[in-house]
Amino acid sequence: MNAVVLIPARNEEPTLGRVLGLLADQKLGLPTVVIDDGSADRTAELARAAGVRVVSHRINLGYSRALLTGLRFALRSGFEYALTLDGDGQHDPKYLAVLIERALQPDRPDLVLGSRFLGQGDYETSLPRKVGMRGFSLLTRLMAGRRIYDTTSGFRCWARRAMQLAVGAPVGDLHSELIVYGLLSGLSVVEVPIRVGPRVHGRSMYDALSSTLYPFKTLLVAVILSRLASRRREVVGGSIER
Amino acid sequence: MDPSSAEIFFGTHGRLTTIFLAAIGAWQVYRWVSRGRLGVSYGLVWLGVCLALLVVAAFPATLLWAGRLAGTREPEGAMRLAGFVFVAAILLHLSLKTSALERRLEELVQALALRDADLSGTEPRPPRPSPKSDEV
Repeated sequence: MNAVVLIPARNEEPTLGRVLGLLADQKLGLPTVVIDDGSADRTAELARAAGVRVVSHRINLGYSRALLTGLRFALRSGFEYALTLDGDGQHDPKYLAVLIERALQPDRPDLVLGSRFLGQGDYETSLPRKVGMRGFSLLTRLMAGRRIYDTTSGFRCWARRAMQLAVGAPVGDLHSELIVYGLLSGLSVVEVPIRVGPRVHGRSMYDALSSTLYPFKTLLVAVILSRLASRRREVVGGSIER
Repeated sequence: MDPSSAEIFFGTHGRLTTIFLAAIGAWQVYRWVSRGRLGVSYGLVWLGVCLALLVVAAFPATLLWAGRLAGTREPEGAMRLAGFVFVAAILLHLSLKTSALERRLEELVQALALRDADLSGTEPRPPRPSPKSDEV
């Protein structure tokens, strides 16, 4: 598989070594790139010491921008797929094989999401975040007519078309907004069940307030984007539409 | 309301204060522009505001005309409306500018990061097995 593993990381010194170690243990043999999003600690050093390529933002731009830099890197380096996981240790690299297997099935989806709510669905989080995540899921169904159970998962396999869409998308967020935009643009999105461990370091980018308000912001953005997406679908026609 | 009533509304004290503040404002804007702290285009906008205040203070009847043009009953209403429209326009303009700057900054940081990565010249590789992973 012509794929690269992308790990956006900011101040992940306590966990990144473990993540890279677990990734090495999988013996996938996939080139790996850590996108250091303006870390103040030894995140980049640690990644280099582990032998992986580091792409460093000189200032912090946020998770989605770091991911976007990684996707740009993957596109210009000619990779057909990009596998993304977080550097905070919540994503177990052993599930990368599940993403790859699903991505290579005959229907060749453009975007495979590792879902915390499919299968056993034993992922535990705070009530406001649960409400927020359900909100995203409902929103996706309302806007795009498809139920996506875990729209905020960072554990994904991106085919080249999904990467191209993300790089050109007029969205600031590569979670829910991009999924809504992608679905409206004709991208094929599927989910596979994964299990996610508890956060061992750092804080979630969604606090209680933003978890609750975020669906509303996404709704507004999605309404605006739906027109753009339909226009895009008319323009690109068969190249994105499945 | 005739021009004399406009002068009652905008008395001598108020007019002198407005002229003083407008003059001070214009001087300050000029200094900022000449020192490069304020862009010329923004400087012109604020000099325009100072000029408008000077005109209103010197000729209060212009308030009446402005009020009739804007469809307000009282000159105060015209001033409030003009102030509100101006502040809203400036805020909208600055929001657009800030968004454009934010986008350009992001593009610049991403381009720099990718260029630095290109300059490093190494191909991306899988991570080396680390003894740390066995400890977990």
